[in-house]
Amino acid sequence: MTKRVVAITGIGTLTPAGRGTEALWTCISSGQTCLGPIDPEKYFDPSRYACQVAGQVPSFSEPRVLTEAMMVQTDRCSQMALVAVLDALEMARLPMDFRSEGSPVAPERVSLTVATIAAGWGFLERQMHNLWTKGVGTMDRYGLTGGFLAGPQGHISILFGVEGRTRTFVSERASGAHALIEGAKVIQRGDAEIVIAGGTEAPLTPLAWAAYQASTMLQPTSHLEEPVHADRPHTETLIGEGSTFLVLEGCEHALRRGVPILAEIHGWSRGTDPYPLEGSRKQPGRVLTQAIHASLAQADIQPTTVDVIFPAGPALAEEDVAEEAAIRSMFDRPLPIVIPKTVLGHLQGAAAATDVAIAALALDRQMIPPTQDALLRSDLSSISECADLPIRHVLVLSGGLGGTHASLLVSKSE
Amino acid sequence: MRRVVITGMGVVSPLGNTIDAFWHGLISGRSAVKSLKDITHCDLFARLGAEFASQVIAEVEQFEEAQQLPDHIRRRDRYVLFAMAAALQAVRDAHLDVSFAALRDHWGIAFTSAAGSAQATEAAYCLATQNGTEAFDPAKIPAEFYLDWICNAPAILLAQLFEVHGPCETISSACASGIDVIGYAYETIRDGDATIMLAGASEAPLAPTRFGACDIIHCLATGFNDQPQRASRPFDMKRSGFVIGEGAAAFLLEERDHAINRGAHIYAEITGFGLTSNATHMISLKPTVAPHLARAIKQAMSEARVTPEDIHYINPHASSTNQNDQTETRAIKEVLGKHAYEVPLSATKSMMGHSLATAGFFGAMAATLSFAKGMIHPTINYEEPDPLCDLDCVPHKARQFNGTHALVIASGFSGTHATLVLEKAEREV
Repeated sequence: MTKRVVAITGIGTLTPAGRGTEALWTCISSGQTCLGPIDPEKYFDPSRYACQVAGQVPSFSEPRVLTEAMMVQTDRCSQMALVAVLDALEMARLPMDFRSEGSPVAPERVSLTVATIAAGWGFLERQMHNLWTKGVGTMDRYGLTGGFLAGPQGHISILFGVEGRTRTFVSERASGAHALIEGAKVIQRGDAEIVIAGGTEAPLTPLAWAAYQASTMLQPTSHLEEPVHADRPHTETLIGEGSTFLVLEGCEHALRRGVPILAEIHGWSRGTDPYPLEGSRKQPGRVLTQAIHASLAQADIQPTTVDVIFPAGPALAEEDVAEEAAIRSMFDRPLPIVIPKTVLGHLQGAAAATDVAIAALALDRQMIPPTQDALLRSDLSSISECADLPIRHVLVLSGGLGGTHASLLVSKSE
Repeated sequence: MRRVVITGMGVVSPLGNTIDAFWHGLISGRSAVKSLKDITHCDLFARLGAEFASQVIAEVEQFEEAQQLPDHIRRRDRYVLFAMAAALQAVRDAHLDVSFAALRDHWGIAFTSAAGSAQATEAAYCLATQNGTEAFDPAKIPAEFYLDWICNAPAILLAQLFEVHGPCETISSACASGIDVIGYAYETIRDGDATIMLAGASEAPLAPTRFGACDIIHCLATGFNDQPQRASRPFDMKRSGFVIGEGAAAFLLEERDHAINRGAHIYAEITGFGLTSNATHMISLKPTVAPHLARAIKQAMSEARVTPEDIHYINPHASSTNQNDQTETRAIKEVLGKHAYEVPLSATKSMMGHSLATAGFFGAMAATLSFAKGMIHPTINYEEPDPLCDLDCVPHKARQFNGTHALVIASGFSGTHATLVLEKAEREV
């Protein structure tokens, strides 16, 4: 039996760029940063933190999913995810509830993968505050389900009627790619007809921000000097909140339904270049090179046919250097390199899905946003307009603490 | 088709921190449940503990294994230490030559925790806010706190320890994920993405906010606060909720030919896995119908190519809540038909409480050991049967067992159900 080809037919996104693919594309194309001083009214007073800048999602509302009751029961992670999933389903011309009559897919044939590092923290911190300041009786009865990692998974599956496999991936910054790869595997194996796959992150809470501060990964910045990553590489990371979800399905399934295919996922791989967590974050990058080879081999293409790279690009010196070394060892020519994180901040669990969404839009539109040269990182001259068309293959890389990494090859639909 | 076998096991549990202690405790029907006021490892309950409606827990009593862990690991949250201790045991138990470099490229890790760090995070909050009385001061957060706060520290620490180059993943899908993570690792080997997978689950949720979040929604046992050992009573009329527990469990899973070629001892084979979502409610189940759990059981049985009559033992979720135990009984009957009444099932939680994601893993471990030991453990505290929970739950006393197939079930909040079919190893290798 030939394996099913995985198509992307829907994208829903709510990031510091705003809501929807047009807002995302416009923002990424402009190259202008969305990062800004943390809003003390909306989040917390950042004055005691070294890093006071983050990518923040503009106000949003969506009465179809964010009812008053839902707002009471959920964390910001779930709220953003519900909007992103709704938009992804709409783009893919799928119903808001797979249990409804006329749904083209049975609910048990729909699957969900969610990536997050810390879903529910905002809710959990409020619970801690209530418990310690006002006592046991003031705890919220939604404290458990609003404040735990599987919260978004549950809220999405219940609201949209997802009765197939559901899973949440929490592998730190690699979680996003892990969730997408699992989604692609579910389609390829035929375990579901539709997979909703993506990530969500709301790290702007006092404790979460303190955890990042303790990690020393955050750039100590009290105001924004732009552009952050581009002209000062490896300056430590800046992060943002947001959620992006994709609709994945077999190409034939999409064609049968008559929905446009934005792009296809032709290859993927996962691996680890382990390193000690204490002290240096140095990564050797050997396994990353193998992993990239594996994902290209799966798609049966050579490195010479890769057109664009989205690196993991966390702006952490050792990780960037290891990743650059792996890219250099594989690709012997300058390649357009796109780092949406310079514009949005690193969206953590939502980063990989956002990168893949932008890659899919680039393939669909046959345009690439402003880019850097992978082999001449310090040279800021954009080669965006000069990139060879058509763009056929985009390699999206992800990596996380401890040397976990993953690659996805996103390709133009045939 | 690549086949997947279990060749190593490790455990940290309220009944003991070796496979032998764990098994002996289960077979002898010993309850590890105790009073919350007797908690030894967490002083955060000192001020607030008495205010909770539920006053019972299942604690890992002595954890001297922590002393044997490297310094940088010993500083981490309790759930990380549990995870490391159980995983190291499993690798040792499998007699794997970890110095063999070629192994590393084909070796992956899959871990799970529903709650992640409960104590280190709550202690950090209390420290940074003076127990909530002052504005949050990030300067008071410990330097390595990030490693406690993220939920994949066990997986990446293990990857580093064994120089693992394969996939290193952590999933967290509430209380079904102890079974889900075994299924995930099994599929990773079956699909050819790894030859060896170290799979594990770990929980140490005994901190006031996590405890209180369960307590406030009345899912914790309150009926036997003064007799803790009787508090966890799956399928019994007087059950009133689950007893929150802790611990870790790990399997070394291996592609079968690889295990045979290196002469490894095979405990059991994983032959089927099921995973479904009920998309109904974050915490409630519909007591009268259980189509989604039934579907998960059917998935695993269909993959394992077994009929209802082939199932000789069930280790159910059996959380000791009203809803779960009735719904689960109904689902088992729906799938197994009349044979449901012929199959013994025993509730591991009756002795060790509910250690969230780890609990399902404990169940899988108990079922695996049943093949090797020729015994199945009892369900304790089954004194007044709930007429809607009328299956043979092996009350009070362990029983001889010579079956070859076991079904393991776990369900979780957010509406997930995960199931496994385990098969006795065809032959001793």
